[in-house]
Amino acid sequence: MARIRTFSIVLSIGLSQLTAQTIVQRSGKSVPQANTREELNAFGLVLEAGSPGATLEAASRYRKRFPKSEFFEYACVAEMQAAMDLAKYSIAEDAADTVLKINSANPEALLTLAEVILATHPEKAPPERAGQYAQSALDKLRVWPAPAFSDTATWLNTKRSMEARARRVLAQAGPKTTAQ
Amino acid sequence: MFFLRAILACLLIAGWSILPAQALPVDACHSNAAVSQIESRIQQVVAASRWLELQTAGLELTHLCPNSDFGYHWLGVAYLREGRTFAAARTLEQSLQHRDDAGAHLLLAEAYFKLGQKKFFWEEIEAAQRLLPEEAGVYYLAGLFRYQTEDAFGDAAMWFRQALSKNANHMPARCYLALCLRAQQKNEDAETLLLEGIRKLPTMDSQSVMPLQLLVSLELDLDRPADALEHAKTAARLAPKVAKVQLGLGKAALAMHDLPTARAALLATTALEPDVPESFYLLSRVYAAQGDQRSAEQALASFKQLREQYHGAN
Repeated sequence: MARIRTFSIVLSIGLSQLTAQTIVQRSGKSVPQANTREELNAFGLVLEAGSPGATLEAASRYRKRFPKSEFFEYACVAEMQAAMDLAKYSIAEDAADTVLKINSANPEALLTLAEVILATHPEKAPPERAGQYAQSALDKLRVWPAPAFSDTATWLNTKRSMEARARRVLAQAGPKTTAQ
Repeated sequence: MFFLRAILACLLIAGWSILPAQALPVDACHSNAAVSQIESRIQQVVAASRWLELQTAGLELTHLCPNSDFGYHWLGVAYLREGRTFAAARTLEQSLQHRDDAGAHLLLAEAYFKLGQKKFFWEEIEAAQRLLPEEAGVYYLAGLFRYQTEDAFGDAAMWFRQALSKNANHMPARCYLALCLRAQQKNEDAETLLLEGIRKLPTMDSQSVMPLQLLVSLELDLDRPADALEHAKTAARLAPKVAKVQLGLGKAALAMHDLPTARAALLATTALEPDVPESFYLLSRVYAAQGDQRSAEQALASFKQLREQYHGAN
């Protein structure tokens, strides 16, 4: 009896949350599919790791265990961002290169490469190259579609934040680098 | 018993930050006073949507009764409502390892829905349906998945009809069935369904907002702006802080050339959700119709800027 009551509470509070007081329009978009629940849980652990160091470890484990996963690109992005947080630029650069091999239009990877160059200049590459990556990221962002199952406000904030980062890189890289 | 009460008192004093170290055997969990107390607190926090407190209560239960599904179940609900969907899925799986339960399967289906995982979603729906075939929520969630992720309107409509056959008062199922009918160009059927749903309600309350919203949109499409405006005003009275409701009122009022109402509603929309391009476009039309050219241009500029953010520069 207690369990039925519990169930009713969850249903009345729970499922209405999917609709609240508004109608959620159909997305018509596909999202990466995990082959097993183990794979999905492991990807969740990458996203939910409590610190950049933990993210690096979880992402590294994930890449080894699920190299053919449809989430592979996203695990690499998480690894790349964590490496940047820790100023581990060579790891970030490797992850960004991997991401771009899978998806050459990934703006976060392009931006990361630009930021790595600026952070490690002059050892890596001339700052013009950073500007080219940043400009390319801006071009991709202009036609970047809203991902499925994500709220629009978060997506828009992320997009604006990346645009601001790209403009910062362009400003630092100098005026010669903008046309590409 | 005294020992457990003492633990609870300590927890209360410490703001629930200390977790009891001693676990109870499964049998003791079902008849334990501390567990009962936590469970009754859970009912209150769930009713009030206080998910962080539910998380704390769930954690306490998992420590008191690690071999029971109780704690994992509620912890899973808390994570799901907090938007920690991966953690919710993991925790609900743990709950199901301890006890096969229709509610946990349905919640897990919801988590996989949010994560867009088709195969796991349908596995959980099948499990929930097997355990509790008369529960309308199972059919509603299945229909919602078909509708939202696959645009399969005919199949989604079939699921929503099943949900309504189990519970004729399931308003979200009714509204989504109306959306399916609309997608199939059966606008009059959709309208009848929604009006019937509203008539079934004992009072016009928050439950009416969804069908009213849809009616506004339908009636505007059917070129019946007066009906749309009437329904939009009722919806806005019931849910004045919902941007989409205000947007519906703005559209209906504009269609009826009620410019002051349209202006107020669209300004409310932009205040509630400042990133919706359509509100600024409609606002620019209202300002222009009122002869306020400067405000019209400003609103149009905001519209163009937001449209570019969403769709890119043309």
